[in-house]
Amino acid sequence: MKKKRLYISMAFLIAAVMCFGITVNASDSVKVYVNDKVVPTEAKIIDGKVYVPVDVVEENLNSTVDWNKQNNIVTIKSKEENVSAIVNKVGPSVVGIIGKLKPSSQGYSSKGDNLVFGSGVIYRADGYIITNAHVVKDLETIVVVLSNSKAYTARLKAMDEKIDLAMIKIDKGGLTPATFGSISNVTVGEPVIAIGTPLSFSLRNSATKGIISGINRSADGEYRFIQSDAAINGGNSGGPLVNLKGEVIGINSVKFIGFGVEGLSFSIPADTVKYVIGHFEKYGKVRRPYLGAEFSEGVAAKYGLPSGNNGLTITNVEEGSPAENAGLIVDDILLAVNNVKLNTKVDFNEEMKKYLPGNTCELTVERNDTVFKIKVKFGESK
Amino acid sequence: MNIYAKRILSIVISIFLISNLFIPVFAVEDDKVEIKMTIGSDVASINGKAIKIEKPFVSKGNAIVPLVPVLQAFGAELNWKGTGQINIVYRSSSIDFAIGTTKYSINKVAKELPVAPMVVNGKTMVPIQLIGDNLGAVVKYNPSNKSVSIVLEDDGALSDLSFLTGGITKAKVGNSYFGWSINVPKSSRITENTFNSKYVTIENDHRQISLEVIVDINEGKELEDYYKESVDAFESDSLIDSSLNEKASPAFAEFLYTSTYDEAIVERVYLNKQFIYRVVLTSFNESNPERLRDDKYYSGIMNSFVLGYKHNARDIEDISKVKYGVVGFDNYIIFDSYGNKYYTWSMDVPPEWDALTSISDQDPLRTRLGLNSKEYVDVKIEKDEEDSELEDYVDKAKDVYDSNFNPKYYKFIEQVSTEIAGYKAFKLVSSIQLNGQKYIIDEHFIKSGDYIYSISIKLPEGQYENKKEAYYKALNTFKVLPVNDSDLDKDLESYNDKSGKSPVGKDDKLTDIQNKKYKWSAKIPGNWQKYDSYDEALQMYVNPISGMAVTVQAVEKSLKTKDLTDEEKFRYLGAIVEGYDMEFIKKEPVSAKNTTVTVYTYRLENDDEEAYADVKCYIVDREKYSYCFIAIISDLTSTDKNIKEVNDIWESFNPEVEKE
Repeated sequence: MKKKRLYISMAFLIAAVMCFGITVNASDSVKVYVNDKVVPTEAKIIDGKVYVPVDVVEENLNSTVDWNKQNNIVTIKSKEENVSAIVNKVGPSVVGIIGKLKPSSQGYSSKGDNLVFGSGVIYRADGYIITNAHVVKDLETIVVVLSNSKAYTARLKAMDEKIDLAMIKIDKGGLTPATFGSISNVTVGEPVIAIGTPLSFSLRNSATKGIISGINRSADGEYRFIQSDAAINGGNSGGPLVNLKGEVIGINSVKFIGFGVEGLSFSIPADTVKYVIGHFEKYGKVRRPYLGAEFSEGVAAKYGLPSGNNGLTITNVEEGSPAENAGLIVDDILLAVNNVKLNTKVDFNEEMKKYLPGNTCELTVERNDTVFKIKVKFGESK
Repeated sequence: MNIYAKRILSIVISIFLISNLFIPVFAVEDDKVEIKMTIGSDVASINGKAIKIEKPFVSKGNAIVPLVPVLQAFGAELNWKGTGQINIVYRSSSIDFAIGTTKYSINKVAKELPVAPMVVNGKTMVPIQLIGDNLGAVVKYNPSNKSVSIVLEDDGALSDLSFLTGGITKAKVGNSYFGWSINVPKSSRITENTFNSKYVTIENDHRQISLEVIVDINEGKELEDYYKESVDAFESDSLIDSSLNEKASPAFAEFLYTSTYDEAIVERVYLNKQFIYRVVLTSFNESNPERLRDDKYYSGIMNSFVLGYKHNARDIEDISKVKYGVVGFDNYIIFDSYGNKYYTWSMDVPPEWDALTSISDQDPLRTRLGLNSKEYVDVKIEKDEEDSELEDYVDKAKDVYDSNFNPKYYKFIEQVSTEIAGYKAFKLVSSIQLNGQKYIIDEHFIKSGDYIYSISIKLPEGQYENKKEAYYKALNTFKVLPVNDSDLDKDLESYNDKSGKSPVGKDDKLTDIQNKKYKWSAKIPGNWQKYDSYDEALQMYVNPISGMAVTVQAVEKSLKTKDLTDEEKFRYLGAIVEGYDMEFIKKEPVSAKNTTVTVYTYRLENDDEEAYADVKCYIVDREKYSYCFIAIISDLTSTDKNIKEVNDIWESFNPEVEKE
């Protein structure tokens, strides 16, 4: 929208002052503070009325302003309540997944219905959908139900249980793929919406809203998660966690549980999802670099205490492994990978996402109080 | 909530939510995919939207179009195999073709294109026939106006998801192998169908009924006999009505009764030379079976049952699981219902076989498949703690048999090195005699990882030659499946720990047993096992190798017990006499334990449990307690050594030593 200057009258300003906290200095050159922050702008006093450019409202008060010049209409919308608009925008990219369990699977019972349901996100218009691995892994038949109520059989194409993501395909084109955001744009406290698709015939997306409670959280998985208080249950697991821009910033998973906490939900960050999708499309699976060492974390790391750089202590080096070949031995402390400091196993796993089997990198190691660097060439994880 | 609880949460389903999916979905605008192209133009229209494409052209009168935009619009899967080979997967078709060749295949069936696919400006171009002939689209090329049209009418959307809940879409259900069919009410679902499809349950939630069809082998019975036996078998008063309808076609016997939940049941039984068919209709909201029988709708359903269905009939949904005359049996080890489930082996067997279970053998590591206790295949999985060579293990097994089995009932025939189902095996062939009948046992041993699989075929001697072919055919489909050994080991260990048995002593030597509360003692070899018991009054000991068992029950004497018979007084004795249907042989007084002891002799012969034994029960009366010492001596292991071992225990038994 073009930044045309529009002036709004005092009446609105009074309302604005009461609701939003715009304070105006009473002098001819008007200084405008929005929520205690000085905003450089050309506010004017005309005929005793204070006029503040509407773009101040848009930029600083989380609203959208639209100026329809032809009809001389200005629309100001507060973004706060646009949750339903987000749900409607992202909805067509969210699918419901229903399937029948394989008789050989753990949960199968000869007396029950043996049905599993969850959600998924369309990430390619020609029928590629991402969901949780645990939703689809034991299924004999997978059915995807679109937001327009139409159902298609799906095939499982690739899966990674450690990250709990799976790629399934339906033979249907012309779908609306979701837009993925990035973890770097996610802030704690930001409102987010978890969308899923319950299996009622009307198939409106179910949405739960919450805020980001934390990022860089390690739950009981091996990677970092986004933590939020948007309620996630079996029905919306595999579905998207969406920010107010309508971008998918995470894929929800009921599988991961925080240590001793209830009521907090975990989502796989969009960056991890993109990493996994890239591998699925190129290799049909996630190809993890193999080092061949087992680590234990420091006690501080276990409790999440701030601890500087305690590193990971090596407890086992596999025979013939890249770690052994690089000269690592038990009791060495791995402090950093390519100068990225490590304190937890999750730190290490997250860093390993940048490498493929066959890549080399530099490890910073501490042995007997001496710190040195070694190069290691990763093998292929099975 | 742990992981399992959360997983179960996602598995819980509301029937009402799913039943909504029975409603056919209304057609939506985006069913169709319509692609319009023009020869020589780089703009195409897909459902009205313009996109840029590589220009289509004509070759030998055929329209050649870019492949990728079409497949993306359809949502087909494209796999580049390298060296010009391309694979397309679309619904149930898998198409393989290559750049530069007109030959291609769809689902492995060879076909030919009029023009070979080629690459132009890096884009794969194909004749429209590739799309029109294989993807369900209608393609048209009009040379006069150079237009190419590709229309996909049906995008493959499912109109009915009731198949997910076992929903039956046809008016009738049948089994083409066992030869029966019956009408079913609309919107019924199959809720149970055993691996051999001998037992199927159909439920209808709207009508609140269940319909079961159970097939059994007919061992030469006639309908009239079956009818008479069944009427007798019903406990008095529970059979409301019954009738024998020999004039009906097919003839049937009908029984009306109620379930333990007061649900009305109408059961009809039909039979032919091979099978007995039981059709059981249960109504969950009707408690009067006569009303259920007289109901027009339900009598219509029951009357629609016919025999003889053999192949594809358009209006019958075939629930038979038989393929090429056999059914697949998948074996799972399940120690308890909350634990892990291990898929360990599979085998293709004749559909007539069942998974046989017996009261006395609830071993999760053992599975028995066959017709009855007289002929079957038994598979037992054993952990080989010593990681021995297979041949050594088999030699040891043979030694155990030789030293424990009475030659009167057991004869070793041969030990052979062989192969079954591609696995190296050793076979021990022997003949055993049970209850006057001779059986041949072919016991095969194979080793997979740390586990030994013992696969035995048991057949009556006279039928061995005739039937062994079918059995070996099944054996040769035996497949061992990869299992997480360390998980299975852990579960097996904790199962054994909870087995309720523990060795009597630290080694094999005779161990002193003292029952302080009931004042008796005995000497029992340390390798015997004692069963855990909540009640010290009843103690049971078993020799795990020979299977000999000794039970001691002590009862406090009182006015109440004075007038009871011994079988009533010693409830364990009464229970096994009735439970195993033991035959009373004789009762005699014997001088022992410084008094007169009453000795009962019974004969245990139970075909279903394969239990054949002499049972001796010694009753010793003392001042405070009466004791019942029961020795069960199984025929097969009744060697002199084993019998002496039991007699020695009796000799050492010291009940309430008389006060000096």
